[in-house]
Amino acid sequence: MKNYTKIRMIATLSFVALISAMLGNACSGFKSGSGSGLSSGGGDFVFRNDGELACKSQADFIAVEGSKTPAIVTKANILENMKSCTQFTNISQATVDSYNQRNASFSKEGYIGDINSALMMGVAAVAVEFCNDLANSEAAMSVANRKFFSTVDFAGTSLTNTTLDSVIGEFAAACWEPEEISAGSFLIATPEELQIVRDEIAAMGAVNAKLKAVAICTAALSSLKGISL
Amino acid sequence: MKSLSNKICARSEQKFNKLLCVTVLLLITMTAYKAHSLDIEGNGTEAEREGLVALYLFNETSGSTVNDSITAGGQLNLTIDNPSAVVWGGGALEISAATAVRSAVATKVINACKASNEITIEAWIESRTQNDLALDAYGPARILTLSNGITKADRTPASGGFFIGQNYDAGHQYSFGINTTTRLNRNEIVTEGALLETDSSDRSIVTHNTRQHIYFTKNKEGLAKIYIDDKFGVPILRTQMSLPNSSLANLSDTFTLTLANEPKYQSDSGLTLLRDTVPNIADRTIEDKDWRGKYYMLAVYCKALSETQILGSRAPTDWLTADVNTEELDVTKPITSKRMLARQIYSRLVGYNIPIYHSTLQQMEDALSTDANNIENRMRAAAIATSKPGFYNRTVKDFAKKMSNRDETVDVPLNDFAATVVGATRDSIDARDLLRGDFYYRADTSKAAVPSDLINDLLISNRHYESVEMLNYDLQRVLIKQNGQSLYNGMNSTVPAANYDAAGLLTSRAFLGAHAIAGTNRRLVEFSFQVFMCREITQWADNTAPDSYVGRDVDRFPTGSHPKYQTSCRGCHGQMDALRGAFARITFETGFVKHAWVVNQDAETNPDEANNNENISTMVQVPRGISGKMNKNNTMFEQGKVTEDSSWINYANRGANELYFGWKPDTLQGRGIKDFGNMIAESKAFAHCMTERVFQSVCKRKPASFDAPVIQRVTDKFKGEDTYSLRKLFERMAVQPECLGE
Repeated sequence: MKNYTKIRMIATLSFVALISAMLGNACSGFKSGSGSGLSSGGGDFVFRNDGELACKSQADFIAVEGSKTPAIVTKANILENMKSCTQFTNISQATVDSYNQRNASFSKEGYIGDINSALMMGVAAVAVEFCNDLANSEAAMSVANRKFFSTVDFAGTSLTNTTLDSVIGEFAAACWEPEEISAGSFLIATPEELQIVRDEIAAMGAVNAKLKAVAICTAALSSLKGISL
Repeated sequence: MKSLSNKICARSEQKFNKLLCVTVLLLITMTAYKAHSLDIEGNGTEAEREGLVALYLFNETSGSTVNDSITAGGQLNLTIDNPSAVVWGGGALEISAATAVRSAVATKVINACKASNEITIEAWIESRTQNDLALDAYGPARILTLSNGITKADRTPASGGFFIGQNYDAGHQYSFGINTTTRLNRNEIVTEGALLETDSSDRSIVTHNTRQHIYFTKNKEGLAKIYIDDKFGVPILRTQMSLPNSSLANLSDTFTLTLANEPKYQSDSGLTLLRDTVPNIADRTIEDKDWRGKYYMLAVYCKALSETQILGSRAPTDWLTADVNTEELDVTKPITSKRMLARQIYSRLVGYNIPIYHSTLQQMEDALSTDANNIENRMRAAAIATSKPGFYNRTVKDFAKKMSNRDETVDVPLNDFAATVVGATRDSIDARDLLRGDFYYRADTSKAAVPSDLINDLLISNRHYESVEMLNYDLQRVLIKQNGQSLYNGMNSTVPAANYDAAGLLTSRAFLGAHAIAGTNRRLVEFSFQVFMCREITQWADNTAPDSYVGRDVDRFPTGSHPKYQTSCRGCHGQMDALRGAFARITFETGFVKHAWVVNQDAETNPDEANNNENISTMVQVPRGISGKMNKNNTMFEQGKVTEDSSWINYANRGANELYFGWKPDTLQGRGIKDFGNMIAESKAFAHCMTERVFQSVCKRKPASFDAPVIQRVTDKFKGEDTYSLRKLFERMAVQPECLGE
């Protein structure tokens, strides 16, 4: 579907934007070794000489005492993670087929250094099918029974900012790890993270409400925060 | 049920008398599964008959009519073209010569299946082999077809519906073809991807000259499946495929339902015969698709029977749904540090995330109680996470898979090694028994419809475990411990032999399949140390160890230099060769583990040919009772050690090796694999290695030097109060501050 291609691009852009915003923290445990073929991208994350993002592979990872090792879901758990965090399990064969087709691009053991463009695109492709299933399921429900899209008029042509924030917030609460903004105080999504997704949805232009809703879901599930453990 | 038993026993080959037959069958059926579809006599509930459009029970005793038991929409009776080609009896119709058994235009089937776009054919049949019949066939012989022939009057391909066929060339293969636009020849159906076939290389799937229960289904999404009963009467999914362009909307209103042939075969003189002579097969045409065999029951549904309807209690369930929280989440509650801690422990143990407001996280938060830093409180929270299916189906499974193959990758199918580790973790079995116990884990056949013949599906193939994984069965639920490992003698027997030297994972098919192929069985020692004690051979090489056990195949003067042997070869071989005697009686070849006490000795007496043996029923043994590979290349240094039994001695017990491995003193020599496994199990290094591996699994990195204290601390608990429970090891490691990044 042409619109799904657009959604996948949005998801990828959001992923990249979110990874830039957050990877400093995620990679705080990483140090670039000399002669490793890596260049500093500024901050604590590094890019390989071929341009791919590299938080160091597990093989040459240099751990820092006292810091949590970032990790992502393994390829066996990509779909399980989406189903589990959204609590939605009634997926279609199209979603399963999408996962099977892209299986080879996912991380076998969940190491952060396995993140590359193929993985990002693959997760986004699976997420867009999954989110379409979720949207279809909730569209058939009464508003009161919906979990994520209770404020979305699926027959409408646009989403208000209030609706946008509501939907983003639901997915963030379900699938993202909250950020500690001060000692003992957590936010499910920071204002910067929310703005990134808002901007990308706005960039979609004049598409119907359902597609925007699917796009928000896709961006949330396929972001680094969406696949981090 | 009794009438069913009578029906079956009446057709028995008189191995039992009828009373005994009925009694046995009643006993079997008391424990048999109950699917949710019809029985062989067509009995079923209203729900089980939903979508049924035609039903043939073959209860007639004579004549040329097969009656349709479904009167709704009009009976679609079948007429036997050549009554002399069939034999009635015992509730079955036997096709003994070329004929066709066909209906008038099958309007009710066509209309109903076009409307639903789904179909299921359920049949109890008995097939024959090509050898049985001396039959020359071209393409799948038709068990059932909905069509009006292969070609039109102008010799172009005719429109087709579907067919169920048996490929006589392969013999051991059924096929299910659906063609919705124009009738394609068989090659085109294959290239178009509209033909589903069972695996012809697996000769256990299609049995001949015995009754078998089969299902062919296609749902509206185009997913087609073939289920065939195994020898225990359990339907097993044999193959499935997403068929392209699988709409039934183009079924022609002229199609007839035909058994045992295509409707325009050559014997039918009433029709215009359209022939394209089949090359090299005289007197047959492309229309001749005659089948031989027996029909006991045939049901046509214009509905795709579900997995639950076909498999009953054995149908796979989505294990993830066990943790789906349907209640409303209270999103107003503040997120606390304890909640965050609970989330982190959960996601690292289970392998995926749940919503921050999930009730499981609430339970874990409650378990952390007033002191979230208390390790015991944390372990109580972790125990909640390890009670979830994801922990076993993902985290432990991957942990185990890595150890089960030479590349230490998770990208291998589930196997007996991994299933045994998962089961032992679930049941908190002492991990040391994984290296010396006489047991393994497999799927409980009352909970999983997977190929389960011990010899065909577990000993000489990995089919059982691959099916469990492919069908996504919940390992936490379906795995069952089996006491007593077995061996196959290669003689095509149906009774396996007991393995009297069973040693848990060390004698698993996966481990031996990875390391006992070819070579000289030194790899078994090398990888036993690497996998279970985390020590590569270069790390425990010791030039000071005695070399009295080094084999005759090791050159003592490599490139003419004895010092080179002393410095480069002796360090590994001195210890490795002394230990490999544990594996002296085994090899892995022709797809299974061969033990010299179980498999006949091959006539070959040259040990250099040991690894070239392709004879399934023999094993090169030189001397008798010893795998020939142990004494190959025996002219390199004739004063070297000759392996004559399974004794071994451990020379990796000096200096740094003694310190690292921490051997238990009375385990340093023995006989066979079990003693060898016990030596490893009782070592300090085993517990330490398992701790390191679990660390890597849940903390997502290899231990660094500064992790030494936490590794030691957790290892001590593993050996002590946690009594070598792998589950507790995972729980304890996941809650350590060092693992959580605190």
